[in-house]
Amino acid sequence: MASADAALPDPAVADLPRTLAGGLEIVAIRALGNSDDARDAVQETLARALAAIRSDGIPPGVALEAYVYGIARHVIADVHRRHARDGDPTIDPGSLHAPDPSPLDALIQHEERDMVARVVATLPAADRELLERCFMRGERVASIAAQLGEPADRIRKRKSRAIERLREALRRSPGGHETASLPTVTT
Amino acid sequence: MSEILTCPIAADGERVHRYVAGTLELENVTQFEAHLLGCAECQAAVREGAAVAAALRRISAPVVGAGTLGRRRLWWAVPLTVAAAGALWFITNREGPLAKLGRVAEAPAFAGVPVRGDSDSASRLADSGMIAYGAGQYGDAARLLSAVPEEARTAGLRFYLGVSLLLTDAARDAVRQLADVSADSPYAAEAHFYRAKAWLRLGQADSALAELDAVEAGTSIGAHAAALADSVKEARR
Repeated sequence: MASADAALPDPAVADLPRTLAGGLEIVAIRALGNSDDARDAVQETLARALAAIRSDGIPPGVALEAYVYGIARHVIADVHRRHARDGDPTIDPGSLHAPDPSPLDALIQHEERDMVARVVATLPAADRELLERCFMRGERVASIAAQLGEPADRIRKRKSRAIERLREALRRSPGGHETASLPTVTT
Repeated sequence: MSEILTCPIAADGERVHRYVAGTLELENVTQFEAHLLGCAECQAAVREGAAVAAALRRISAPVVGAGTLGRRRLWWAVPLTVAAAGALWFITNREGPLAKLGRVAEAPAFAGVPVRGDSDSASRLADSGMIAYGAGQYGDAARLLSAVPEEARTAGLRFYLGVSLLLTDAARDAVRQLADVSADSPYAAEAHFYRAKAWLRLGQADSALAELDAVEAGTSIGAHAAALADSVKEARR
């Protein structure tokens, strides 16, 4: 561990929650499957990270994100252990595959989900199938391309265009402006 | 507004969609999540992918009776559709003044609030039914919402099922369904109003007026109920 002198300057430490909370929320929700546990885990991670950085600094050669991620893994493991001790069967720490429904569903508001579902239903069948193969079945682009007999680059472009069509439709739908302000894939 | 992605992982997208689907290998999950913490573009892409996956799961929720209708029963579906269209023309051109008052010019809006909040199969049916309702497919909505077991039906679900039945001219079933919307739910006043409409479709003016009387004057639909009651009384003269 580095000495206290090597600790991050206070403004950067104080800014930790803002810069890392969004990513931590995704990691915690995916691992824990519910928003309440995830919120607690994010708070606990940030509190431990701030305390550790202020007292010892970040170990040399370790990126801030990687350091905080390591703490998050410990916090999440603690939650799993606590649930296992309490006999809660709903969480399977060993599971790598997103169950149905996916724990990431907790990231999405019900209203947003309804709106996206309505818009997805209006996409061409080929777009829907490609999005399903990617986001539901998690197939590799190369594998989809091989099965369809098309170059992988073309599949990537089709996927990007399908997402762009979805964004465009969301922009046009009532109340859809917030969801539509997402980055654009440029492939 | 959109912006150009600078993160190669977000731009490529494969790790993102495999992470969302849960097929990314453990070592790659660890690597990706460490990156995710500091990458706003990947965070946005994961949230977007999660929304798409959730939407696709809703759309692919089981549709009651689908498949058999499309294949095995297709031979009689066409003549039946023609016959139904003819019957509908006959009915709409013969309907009396009360039945005309019972028509629903515009379906009550669905604000997107789930009619069931759980994540069980009943909720998936309810969600699919409400997606059909939102798309104006009231026959599908009625079929899907009817498939939700009786004991799992909430006031909101009963209300939209009743309205869907009314909109597909199943007025008698609509009367039964709307009667079960509990009096202390937020749907109670509107349930009385649309039950009155269903009674009117059945030519039962007295029953319709009794329902309209039950709509509280101070509610948003109270003025509509009073106006409809006046029209019913006028039509009876």
